[in-house]
Amino acid sequence: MTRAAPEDSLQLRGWVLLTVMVSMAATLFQEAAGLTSRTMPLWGWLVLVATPIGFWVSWVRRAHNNWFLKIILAVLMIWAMMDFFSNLRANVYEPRLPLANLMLWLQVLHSFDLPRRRDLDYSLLAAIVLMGAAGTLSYDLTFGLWLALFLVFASGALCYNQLARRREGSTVKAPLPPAMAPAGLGRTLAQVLGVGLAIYLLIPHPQSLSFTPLPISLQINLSWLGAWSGNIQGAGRPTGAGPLEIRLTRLVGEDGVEYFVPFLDLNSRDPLHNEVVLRVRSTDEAYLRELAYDYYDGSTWLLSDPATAEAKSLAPPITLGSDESRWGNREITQIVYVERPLTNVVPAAWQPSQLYFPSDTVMVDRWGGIRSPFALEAGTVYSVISYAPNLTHESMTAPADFRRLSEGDRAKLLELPRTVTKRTRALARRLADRYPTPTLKAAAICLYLQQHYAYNLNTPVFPAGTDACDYFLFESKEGYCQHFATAMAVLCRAARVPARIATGFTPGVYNPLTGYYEVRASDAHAWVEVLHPPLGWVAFDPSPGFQLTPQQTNQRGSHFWAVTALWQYLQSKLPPGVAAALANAGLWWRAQFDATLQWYGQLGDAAKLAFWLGVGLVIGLGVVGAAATLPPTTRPGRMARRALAGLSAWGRRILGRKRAGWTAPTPQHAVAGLYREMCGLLGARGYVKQPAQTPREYEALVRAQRPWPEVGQITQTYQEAWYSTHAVAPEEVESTQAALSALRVQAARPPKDLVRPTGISDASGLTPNGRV
Amino acid sequence: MRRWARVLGRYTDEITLIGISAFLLAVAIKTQSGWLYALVALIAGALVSNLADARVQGRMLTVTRKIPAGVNAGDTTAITIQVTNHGRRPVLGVLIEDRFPTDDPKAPPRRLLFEQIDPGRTVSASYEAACPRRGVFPFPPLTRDVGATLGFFPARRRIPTADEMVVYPVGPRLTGPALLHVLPDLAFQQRTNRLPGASYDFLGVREYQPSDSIRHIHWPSTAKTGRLMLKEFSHLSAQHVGIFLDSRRASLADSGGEETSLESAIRLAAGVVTWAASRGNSLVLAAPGVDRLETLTRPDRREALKWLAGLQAAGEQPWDQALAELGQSVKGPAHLICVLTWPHVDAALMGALRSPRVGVSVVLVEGYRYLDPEDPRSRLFTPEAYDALEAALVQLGLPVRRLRRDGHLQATLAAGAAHS
Repeated sequence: MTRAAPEDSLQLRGWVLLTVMVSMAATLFQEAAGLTSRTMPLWGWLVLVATPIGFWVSWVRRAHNNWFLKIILAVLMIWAMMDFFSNLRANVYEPRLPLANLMLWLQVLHSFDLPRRRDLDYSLLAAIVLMGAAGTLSYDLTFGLWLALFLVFASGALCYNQLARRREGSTVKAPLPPAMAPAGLGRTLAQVLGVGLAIYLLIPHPQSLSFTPLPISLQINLSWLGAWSGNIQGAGRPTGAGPLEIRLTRLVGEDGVEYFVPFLDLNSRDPLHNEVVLRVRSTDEAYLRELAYDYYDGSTWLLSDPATAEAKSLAPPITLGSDESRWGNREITQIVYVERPLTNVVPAAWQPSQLYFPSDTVMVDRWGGIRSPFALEAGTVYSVISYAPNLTHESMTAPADFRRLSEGDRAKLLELPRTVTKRTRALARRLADRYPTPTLKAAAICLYLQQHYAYNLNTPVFPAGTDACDYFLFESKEGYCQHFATAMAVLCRAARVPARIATGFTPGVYNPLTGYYEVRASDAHAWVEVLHPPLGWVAFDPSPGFQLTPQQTNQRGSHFWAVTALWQYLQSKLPPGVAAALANAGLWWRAQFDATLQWYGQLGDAAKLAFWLGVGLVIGLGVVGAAATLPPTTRPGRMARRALAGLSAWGRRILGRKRAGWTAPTPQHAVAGLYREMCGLLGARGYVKQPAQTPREYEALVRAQRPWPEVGQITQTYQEAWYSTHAVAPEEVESTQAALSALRVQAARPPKDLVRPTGISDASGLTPNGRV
Repeated sequence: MRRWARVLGRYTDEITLIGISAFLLAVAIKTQSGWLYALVALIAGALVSNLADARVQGRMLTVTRKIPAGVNAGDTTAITIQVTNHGRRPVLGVLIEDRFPTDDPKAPPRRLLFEQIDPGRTVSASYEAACPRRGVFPFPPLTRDVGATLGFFPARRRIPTADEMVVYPVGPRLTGPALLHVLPDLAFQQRTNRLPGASYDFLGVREYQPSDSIRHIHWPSTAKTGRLMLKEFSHLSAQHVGIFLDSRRASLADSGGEETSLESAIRLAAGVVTWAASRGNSLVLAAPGVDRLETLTRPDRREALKWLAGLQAAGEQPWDQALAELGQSVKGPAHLICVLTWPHVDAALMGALRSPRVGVSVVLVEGYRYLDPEDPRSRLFTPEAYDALEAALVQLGLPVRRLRRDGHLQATLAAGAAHS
């Protein structure tokens, strides 16, 4: 067997070396970013130094057999494999790092034996895989710089690689000028970036984390400490955790024992910080719950019961238990990377079932808050699988059964301080009495609060001596999440619905490049949990601009589409008229599609067959037409031309017949378009319609702030058109159009007493739900 | 299946990258690693953009093949490929594949790589090829393969051309004695010309043989050599020289060497053409065609040689008809040289040769067997058959020169190169 010729192109070797170095450096630096120390280990530098030496050795020895070198490399590869298995055994819950290290070592060793072009090809492929490994390890946008460098060097390497490949067996003429970079590389890079961006926008990002075991940082076994009782650690330190930083207060029990419990002061709020505290990979947009508070004294919430229960497992996961509801649960998987020091309270989606945690023991408090034996440091990684109850019409209207709830607990969850006023209780009755189940009562109260009160992070401190809930509901009528949650919890309890306040973080902002939800300190939040046995604890968020039921916040569906995100971003930047026009154009196309589907449904079997034959004919013609663009010297080109000649003769006879006319959009679709235009118009003026809001709720929200009767008229027509059997007449479309025109005139007038109900931007540019 | 394997083999790198992308995408879906989507998108972007770029760059190029006007069989020639970049950006990795017509079809094509062609530039490259035999060979299409910058999905296109390579047959150099060697019957010692009005050319001297006329003894040479030498004349000073080649399928008889009787006949004719053209004779070339006579009238030497180069053994036209047509083509004083290869005594041929208006010489090129040994016609190629034909022709009173297959033929044809 003849031995392949050695590769003599120094340029190719240089560009491949640069590509390999970038991929290795990216992997090493991303690894280091995930470590607690944030510094690259010494062997990382060794790898970066050894690789160029290996390339130099390969260049010098490219024409030799190098059998002794191969033997040494084989031995070292065996050592690398053993090291890999050793590292893997040390932490089976995070196999990415050992795997990345193994690939790094293999790349280094391989760099010593690259005599031929194919060997350099393998190095390039390994560099791509290494970049993939670095991408999975990446936590932030710095990886983009590495990726850009990799793109530049890999393009140069590919260019020289293809020239080297073409030189094999060729007579080389017009050789490449001696230059550091091939001509036109910049333009090629621009093209690759442009096309790559377009492809990126069109790739769906399925939201799934389908691998086990889930990752955790290196396990710390603290069983020997023994004396830890689940108390909160690290509270009060400067974590920058935002307005809901956990604070402890000292209580003395009936037995005289002194203990500390967390509390929530409604009149105290720290300034907002924007640092990322958590990065979360999640299968859903789920709130990260920390603690729940059950005792309210008129100005402060307390966790009344300091007792905790131990949850232990010799090997992850730690099972926390979760009741399967009759209507099924939705599984949420989260992998949490702690970026800033936090307390030992473990944020997790409700209701946690399995916890992969770097400890064999955690404590769980009375209301499901998880406490770690140690404060969460930057670099800590844990995973949690939670099950959220499915909220359906059937489950929400199911009668509540409180028999499994102890009287003590029930009393605690319904307890109200004496400061709660009569008008508060009356309001609760007015809002909730007509609904039969706790969930429906809570939903009515939550909706009322969202629609009638303003969110204001700069709300002044409530006067001393007043009931915070009463003052919020009837005096200030504005506040932030704690006030809304307190008001809802109090109203629920007044309506005999067991409720408690939960605190933690909203899901944060999804970064499609890293794949993480970036949870910032300013995402700290408070909401309400309502007990509805057998459905379980159901979360409600009464703050305006937030989702009504956080456990059902799967707004993105099962896929993230970058093009959709881009469209939403552009929509927010475009003038309202343009955005509405584009949205209407989309609606028009949708209407055409719907009309086509309707038309197809009315066809008989024979007509359907003819339809599909027509579709096949069109596709066939397309294929033949494309083939006809090929040169006539090629066989497909000749065949296509013959086929087209025959088809054109046949087509002239067939297609000469009269075609059926197309169906215009129905009045129903026209009304929908006008309603959508109205939503766009109002949204541009601050009245953004939330996906969960019904048209009637949205109308009530708008009309509560601005007296525009046209909103009611358009909403009424739209409701009748889409949700009743009423057939829309063309005259109704015209009147709706007139109403929209009038509304446009009204909305163009400067507002006199505008209260923004759906969010007030703070200095950081974030609205209360954390969206820009 | 083999074809698919070949196509897939051409795109190994692309398939590998697509496989890696699919793997990375699967990992991205499993782990929600957003950067992997970006990496996959960039790989796909590189593949797609280069696919388009290679085709766009390919359209910027024009490729032409420069070939020499004609070469002699057995020579080596140089084919030049010129590539011009009409675009506004440099084009990288242009590979031109060409196949010389006489190359082994199973051998890899000639590959010329132009690593970089700057805008507006024309670059050229040549390759050498041997031309072992005469013929007019059309070139197959050129293949232009543009890899653009990254080399993925190269734009490969076949460019049909009308180029043809003319390889002239190489005949013997027929000067005086050599001509006498080939066509001794053209020389004569008696001024008895069957073609009234024709003049005579002095061809040279040769040794006296019994029965030669003493009237043409060349005394100066006799005095110099001490032996009786004889002057020889030719009646080929006739204005027209016609060459009739027996190019019927039957002429594809193996002449005992490496070439067929037809090839030998064509080489002989090439020698006569060169000789006649150098003397200023007007030529008429003829060979039986499929259904009519293939003729070339008054060609120059190059045209005549090209005609001979392209002559194929395709004719099945009857002899009498062919010769009758030829007779109409040749006007005025002329001499017809018939180069025959078929050993059969054909009544039509005999009839046609019996009464021509012009002087006729016959050259009989012996065949050894038909090309296919299993063909029953192979049995016809016996010395006895040629003896019979020669006897019949002599009986008609025609001068006949028989080039035997025992080496006489090859020695005759190897008598120097006739032309360039």
